[in-house]
Amino acid sequence: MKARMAPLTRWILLLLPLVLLAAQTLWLYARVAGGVAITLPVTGVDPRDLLSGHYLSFSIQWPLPTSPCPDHLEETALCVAGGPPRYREDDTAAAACTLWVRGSCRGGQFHNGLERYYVPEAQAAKLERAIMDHRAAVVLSVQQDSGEALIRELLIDGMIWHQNPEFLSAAQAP
Amino acid sequence: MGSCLHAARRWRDAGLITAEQLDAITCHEQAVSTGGRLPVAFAVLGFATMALGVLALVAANWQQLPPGGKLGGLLTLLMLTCAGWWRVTWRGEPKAPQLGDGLLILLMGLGLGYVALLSQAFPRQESLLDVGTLWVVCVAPWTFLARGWLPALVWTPLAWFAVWGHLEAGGWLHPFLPDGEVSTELVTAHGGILVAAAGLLRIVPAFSVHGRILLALAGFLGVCLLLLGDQLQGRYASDWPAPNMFPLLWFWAVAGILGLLVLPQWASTPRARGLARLTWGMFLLHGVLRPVLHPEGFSVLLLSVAVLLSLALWLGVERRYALFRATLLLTMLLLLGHYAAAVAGLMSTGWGLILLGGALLGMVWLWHIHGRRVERFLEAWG
Repeated sequence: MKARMAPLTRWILLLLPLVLLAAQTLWLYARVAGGVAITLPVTGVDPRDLLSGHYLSFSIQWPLPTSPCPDHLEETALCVAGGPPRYREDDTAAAACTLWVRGSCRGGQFHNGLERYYVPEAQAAKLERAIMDHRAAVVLSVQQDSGEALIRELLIDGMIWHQNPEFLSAAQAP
Repeated sequence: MGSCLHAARRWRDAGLITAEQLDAITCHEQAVSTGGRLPVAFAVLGFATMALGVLALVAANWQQLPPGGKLGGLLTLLMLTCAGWWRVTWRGEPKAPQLGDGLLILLMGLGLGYVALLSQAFPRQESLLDVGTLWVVCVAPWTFLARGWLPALVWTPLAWFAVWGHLEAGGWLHPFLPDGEVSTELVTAHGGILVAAAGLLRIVPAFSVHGRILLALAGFLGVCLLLLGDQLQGRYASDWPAPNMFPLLWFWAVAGILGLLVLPQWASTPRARGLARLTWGMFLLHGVLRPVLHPEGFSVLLLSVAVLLSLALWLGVERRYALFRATLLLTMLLLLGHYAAAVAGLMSTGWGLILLGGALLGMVWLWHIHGRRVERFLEAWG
């Protein structure tokens, strides 16, 4: 049956995965480039296990309201611009904020899954130390329509880490 | 070649041909054969593992690569592999359909690498399930191009996991399976059944007249799936001891006792019977000791390797040489999994994958050179 497959069908089946992967890449690139950029500081999650192999694990310091994240909201959003920090519980609250970040509540804490950043192993230890010294921040690209957030860059001392000459020279020192 | 030699061995056992004639038939078949499916599959798996190792090394130096070369390089590699597949399967008469299927599996592996690199390049709000689903959806068309069972065998269980994962994440299964951990076990079991069904339907079309093949497959799948599925994930390490693993222990105990009592009855020789009892006895012991031993401990690893090696010997004595080799491969994978978990870094994991790929290719080469000698030894010993 497969031997009788039309040539056009074969070509489509062969190339469709490549088209899908390329389209996904372009779509993600557009999301990163087109979102609203916000910069937030990060801290280490656990000093004993901050660096796990090839990625850095950290916690983003969100602008949080004083009340804990209500655990009954499995899916929520946090207002990060255009209004006081608060969690979205209904449509009325949504009207008074211009930028929301989608996430969820677990144990009274706000989580949105952005907790790791891939780095070269050679610089990993230095980056880990910078995060522990509270010198790090992330630039997020937030989609205004969906509240989806992507990490655009990791900053050390306010500069993109791989363009920061002071950090790179320190990282190359023995 | 395999079915022909199996038949020849049966004739030798029935006294229809002599051992010398069997040797002559074997030599002739090996001389005229292209190597069969399994050596090709192992060779492709070896190349694919090495490719993943290279990808891991590339990923370890991700930031050092020029921006345009990151995903573009891998996409180019995917396109070249597509061209290679077209070359060996479409151009003129297909001369090497197994090689074409091997290239499809390589394409799937490279696709997985691409999806993983996308996650690294664009860190975003996604789960492992999202990444897996993207891969399952993207590479699905390639399974339709396969001429054999192997690409579908790779894809089907993972697609099954993705469907179950989304059903569970969406809460659709909660009315039926209130305990999420137990449902994961059921997913694993169903994945195993799918693998067995896919394998039985295509590998052993005449299994109804070869009871021992079914027996060997049941032994192989029963032992390996539980050992590897449980241990490679290390899933009980975080909340050890986990109270919700008791259903799994029940399943383990029932499978172990049934295996110990029933399966040796159909063994072909007294030594095979002893090895079957040893395998299932150690499997049962493994389950009994699980509440005591830490899942990531060295003792559990040693016990698992002992069970797998015993299984390999049993399958070898039963003359199920394909499964014998597959068991040795799974033992290597188990050791690699523990090695990767212990060392964790991409650089070392990359080198580990390359070494494993090299070991697989070495195994194929050794089997090609010395396979008949090993078979003779196992036959004489069994």
